[in-house]
Amino acid sequence: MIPRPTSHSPALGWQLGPSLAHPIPTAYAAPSSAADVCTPSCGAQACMVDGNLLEKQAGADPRQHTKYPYVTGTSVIGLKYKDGVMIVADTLGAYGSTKRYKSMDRVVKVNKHTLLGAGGEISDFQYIQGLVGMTGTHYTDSHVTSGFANALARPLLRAQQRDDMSEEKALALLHEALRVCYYRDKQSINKFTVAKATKDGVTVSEPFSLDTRWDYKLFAQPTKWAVGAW
Amino acid sequence: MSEGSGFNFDLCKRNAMLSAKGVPPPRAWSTGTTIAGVIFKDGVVLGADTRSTAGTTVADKNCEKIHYVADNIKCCGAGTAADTEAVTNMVAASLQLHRYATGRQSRLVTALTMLKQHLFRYQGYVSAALVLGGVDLNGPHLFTIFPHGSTDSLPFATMGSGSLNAMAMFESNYKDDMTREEAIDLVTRAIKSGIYNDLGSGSNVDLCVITKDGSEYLRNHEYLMDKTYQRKFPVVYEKGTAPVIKEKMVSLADVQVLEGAAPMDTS
Repeated sequence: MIPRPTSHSPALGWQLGPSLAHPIPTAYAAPSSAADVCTPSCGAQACMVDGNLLEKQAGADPRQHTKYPYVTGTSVIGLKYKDGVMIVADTLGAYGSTKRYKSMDRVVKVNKHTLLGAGGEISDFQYIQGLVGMTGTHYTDSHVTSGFANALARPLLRAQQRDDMSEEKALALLHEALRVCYYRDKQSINKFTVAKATKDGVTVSEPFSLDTRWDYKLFAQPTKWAVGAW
Repeated sequence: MSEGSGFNFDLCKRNAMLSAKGVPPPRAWSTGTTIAGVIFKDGVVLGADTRSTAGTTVADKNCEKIHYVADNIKCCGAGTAADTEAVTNMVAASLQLHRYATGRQSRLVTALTMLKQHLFRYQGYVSAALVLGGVDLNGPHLFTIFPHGSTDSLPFATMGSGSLNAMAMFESNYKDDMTREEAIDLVTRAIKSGIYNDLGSGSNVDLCVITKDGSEYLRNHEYLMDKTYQRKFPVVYEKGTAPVIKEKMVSLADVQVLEGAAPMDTS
């Protein structure tokens, strides 16, 4: 059994850790009722969010615990194809505007059948990896996106994704979507990992990069006829 | 109100006093739009959706977002509808006077400079995000103008709430020296990407193709608001549509009429 990591939020239930700066109130030490917890079928422990213990602030989003994200990941794109599903993301952990960690795997294998990809606060992603089966907002669709990819990749996926597409076509479509996200998202780099889940199991690829074009003729001298424009 | 060309700060003190008293400043309404333009071999194709929104309501299902600036210059506008309409009309009128003074066809840079100087002067409070395109003696040009007054000169451009959706199409499919048909097809796909994937954009696709020989306004180039289902009214159900389970016949001759009963209340 993986020991449960400690949590910073009372709403998630203070977990007993090796040493804590503040004593835990006994009321929070155990879940309120074992019957309330929906245990996931994979056998992992569930994580229950107790809404009453969340800090009540004006306009607080009950789904958001992290107030100030530090290291963040950007877009994640997933789609279904003939043999299974693929999830892809770049390998950047950005620290504000700095490209701090350039080799982070943001798509990971959870078990023989499951992939997990995440954007947003990386520390929360790492916390979640110890808590498979978390009950939260989830979507089921033929293709899902998060972050910038919502606006940039979704039109391409809607136009071209089919549930019975071959692996080559699915990969080409994901590459196209990633390329557009890389062009237009400032917090991205040209280094990606793609993970595949089929009936034969789950594989995470080695990092790869995409060809990009920066040499369109009309980008060369934008102010040729318009001094003062950019 | 002080005259002159600088920014008028008269109301800033009032706004500061109001927000100190707890009155929130009015939220700017973004009307939600997808506008786009692309330069092809012989000219420029501009495109826009036709939905105008007021909050979450669609105010106009088929409005015109491609504004006339000159015979050879058109401008698509996103942001507050009043601002885009007023600022493009103002520049169109100024350009006409300028043409009388110079005796020449208007240049794109003239329109660009007039627009950006006006918008910068109002420090972003004139909420107009524009895609300006046209053909003049120096060839085809395409510019974007942001509400604060900055401009970019680009081969393909999108603005509005659906701009990222449309830009995804451009980034995948743009190439140098397209033909007129390829450019029209690309802009249509970009605007449709905005219409189908952005809630602030919708209805139909308007296009305008400008070349050195003139401009062609393709209003409702793609009409997507077709009613695909026509409701039949009155609805006629054939006999036998509803299964009859039981039948009971009552003869009116057996009905008793009671005299002297209370009159029906028809108030």
